[in-house]
Amino acid sequence: MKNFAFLLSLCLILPFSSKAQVDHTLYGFRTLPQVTMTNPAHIPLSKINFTMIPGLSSASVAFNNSGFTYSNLVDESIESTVENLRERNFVDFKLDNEWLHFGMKIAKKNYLHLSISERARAQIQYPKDLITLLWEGNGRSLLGQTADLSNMAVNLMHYREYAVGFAREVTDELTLGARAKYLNGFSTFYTRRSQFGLNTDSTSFDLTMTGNFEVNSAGLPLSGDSTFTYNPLFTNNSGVAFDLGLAYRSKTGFGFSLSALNLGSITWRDKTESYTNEDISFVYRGIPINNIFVTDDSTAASAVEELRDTLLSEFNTEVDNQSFSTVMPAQLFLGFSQQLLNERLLISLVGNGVIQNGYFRGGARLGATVTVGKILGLTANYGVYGNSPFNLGFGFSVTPGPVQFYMLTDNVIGLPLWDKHKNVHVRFGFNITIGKQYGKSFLKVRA
Amino acid sequence: MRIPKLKILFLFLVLVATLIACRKFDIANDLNGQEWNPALAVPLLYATVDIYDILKQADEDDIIVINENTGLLALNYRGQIASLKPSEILVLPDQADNYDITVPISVIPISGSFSHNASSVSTFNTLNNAEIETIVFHSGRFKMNLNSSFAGGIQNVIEISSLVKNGNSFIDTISQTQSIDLDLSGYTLDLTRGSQGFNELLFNNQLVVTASAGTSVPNPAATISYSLEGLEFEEVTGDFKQQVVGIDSDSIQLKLFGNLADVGALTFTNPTITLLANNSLGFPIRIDLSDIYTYNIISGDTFKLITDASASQFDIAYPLISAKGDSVTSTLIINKDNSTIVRVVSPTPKYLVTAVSSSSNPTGAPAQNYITRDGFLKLETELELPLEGNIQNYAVRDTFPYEFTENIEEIDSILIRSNITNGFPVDAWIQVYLTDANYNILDSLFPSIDENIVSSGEVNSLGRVDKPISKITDVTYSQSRVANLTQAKHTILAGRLKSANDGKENVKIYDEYQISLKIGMMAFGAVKLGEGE
Repeated sequence: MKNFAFLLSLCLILPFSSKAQVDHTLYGFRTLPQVTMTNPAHIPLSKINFTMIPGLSSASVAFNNSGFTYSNLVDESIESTVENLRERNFVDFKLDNEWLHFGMKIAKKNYLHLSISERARAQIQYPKDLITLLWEGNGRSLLGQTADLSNMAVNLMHYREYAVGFAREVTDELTLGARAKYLNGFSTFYTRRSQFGLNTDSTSFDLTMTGNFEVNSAGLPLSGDSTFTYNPLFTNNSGVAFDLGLAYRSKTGFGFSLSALNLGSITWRDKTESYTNEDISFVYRGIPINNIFVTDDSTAASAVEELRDTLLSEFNTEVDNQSFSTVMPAQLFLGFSQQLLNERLLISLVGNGVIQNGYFRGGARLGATVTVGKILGLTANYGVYGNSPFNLGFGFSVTPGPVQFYMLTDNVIGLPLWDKHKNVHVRFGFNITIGKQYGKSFLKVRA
Repeated sequence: MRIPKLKILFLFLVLVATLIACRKFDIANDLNGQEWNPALAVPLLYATVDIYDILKQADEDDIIVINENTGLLALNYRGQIASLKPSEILVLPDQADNYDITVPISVIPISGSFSHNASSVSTFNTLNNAEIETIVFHSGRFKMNLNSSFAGGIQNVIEISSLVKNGNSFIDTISQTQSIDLDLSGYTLDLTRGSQGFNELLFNNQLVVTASAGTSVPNPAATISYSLEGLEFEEVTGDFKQQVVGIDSDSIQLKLFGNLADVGALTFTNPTITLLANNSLGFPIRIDLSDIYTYNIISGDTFKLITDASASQFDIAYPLISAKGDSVTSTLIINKDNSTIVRVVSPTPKYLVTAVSSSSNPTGAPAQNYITRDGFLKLETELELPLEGNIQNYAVRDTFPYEFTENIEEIDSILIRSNITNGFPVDAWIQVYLTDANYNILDSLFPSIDENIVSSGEVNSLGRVDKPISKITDVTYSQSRVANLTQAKHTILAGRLKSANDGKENVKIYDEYQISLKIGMMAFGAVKLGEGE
């Protein structure tokens, strides 16, 4: 029965798991105190945890290009690469660094933790038609069609996170957790809306551009302000976000867990600039030559000037310096697990997803986690995410004493074979962990 | 146990680091061999041209007229043949004459003064036998002096009762030491007081001789000399007889045909020339139109508009003296019914030349004429060409400067597309030649001059276009020919035109006709990617 439930959940998740965000190897890897980052209901296996070296508690870098790999371009062909793109593609780059972390168990059933982290996000969204336009031009498959250039976006964000979290074993089976985060933003560039279409008439080759866009920025010297200064300590760009989680395990060894992360927003007030154009509608028919018989250089020059004026008018943007809010990309995890081999091996299936700008990207991984003695924790998984069907996650923690070093990745082969993979990710750090409860307690691990 | 585990970890990390270095990022080398073949489609030029735009190239001053009832268009060319001034028609020559006043010896006393009255009539000379009755002077001088062979003092009181100003006849006294110099401005001279009733000037004299003591000479006399000089009139009446005035020739350039390169057959089926005369001169005038002709500067041919002498006279009406100050308009319409005007514009004329002469009182019968200083005769020509007819192989040709300096090494080929929707009843075969600076042809845009780029709109039985016709023509320039685009310095546009149905039917041009022209280009690139780039 327990295996049936597990297999059922596997069947439910995997078909929908083609894209996802990173850090699912960390999910449920409880030898690390950073496990709370992915589910605040997951209590680490050590009683007291804190940063060994400020700034090296947990550093993470992740890169994903959902559209193609380097090998797609150079070993296959650019043409086939373009052909195989999805309608909407992403390049994501994430940098995270935990400056400080502290956590401790309180009265056996509670876990309190605090942290300060630096986070930077960069994302480029590119529609397939944009790349098709660049590669093929508008004279092949796009001739007579409207190239859908909507959702072109550049999103950048740098903020600092001050977090306090608490988890409690409500019953022997159920643990609930939550974390509140104060967010202090340093800079952002946010594409709130971008809708563009470029039509090429198949007969006359007339070009019709329609669309609208709105972009917001804060803390960036976009307008060339020479007095701009960057404040690395604290800004007026404030926000709040919450992480919520639960973890359940039955006496049969079957468990499931759920977490929702980053439910919040930042309001940007410092050095804000917003650029808006609600209605771009422009048809280029070439140079008008109504007075065709007297066309000369001055006529052509005036036609070009007229075109320039028209373009400037059409693409003229409204600029304001009002404050604005950006919703944090919410992240969801759903995990199912089953203890096997006399409860020494934990098999888990985790699905996750990110909701950003109303768009959902999901992923899933099937993994196994074991501990060896009180020193070594190992985890490995096979994951499908980031429009990549084959990712091997791997992680370990070595804790010979109170000092713990760990390293994990969502795609271990993406590191050496970076050219053939869409996902590259690594997280590592040093912790001080006291009161390890590996071994027997491992058998009680909740995925 | 700890040390071996850490060693294993270290070795693992070294292995990972080694694997990471498996492939170096060298996209320029890795892409070598791939080719980028984009196709860029862009619109180059567009125009929606109506008949006004087309005709504007001939001359913005040309007038296009629309028949309000039918919408049929016509070209209207105007020229002014003549504007005659009164002074060119009637000239008052200077007058100079003298007469003697003699006194019979028996009348002359031995001593003391005496007076003697005498009248004299002089002829007022005119040109071309004009018989002038009255003259109102605008300007001029009347001069008179006296010479005497009488002994003693002498003076003459002279009265010209026919020379009147403000109701007063002219009267003055002259002597040997006192002459007359009169400004004639505002005077009216009546030349009808003589026996013939015109051209006669009457003088009344009262001669007074003082301190006479007989005479020292036999038959003494007083000689009166006079002159009328610099005569300008305000008004003249009389019978001016037949005054012939030649009028300078005038030419109207038919700029519609400015770019035509060669003779062809262009037939307007209903052209007209209207002669408009506006006359305020008080006498009939006849214009001789026998010297109106067209001149073809290509062939050098001239072609007379009117060959029938009897039809070449244009009698211009005039205002009667009772309507003095008014003007009368006379119109003569020359059309296909009374002339060979249909041939006026065939083939390819460039100028309509009018050289006419005029004569007054053409019948020669006695007449009561008048002319005023501000009178006029204006003679205008109006050529109207209703755009109705047919075109057969009309050739057009024009040259334009050209320069294209873009780097096109990576262009594999270029497709030029013309998309023309024609609402005119005309087919066009067009070729565009690319030439070097010396006009040597490097290449041509279309495969041959026989490329029918513009198809005539569908024409109904009335010669009117019912439906525009669209035609797309694609021309591909291969890479070997693309180089010619950069070397060319001039383009020569050459073409020939035919009206619908192979030029066999008469067609009409209406003001709603339009032709829509769109030129687009598709450039096919061929860019080798890799190290060479």
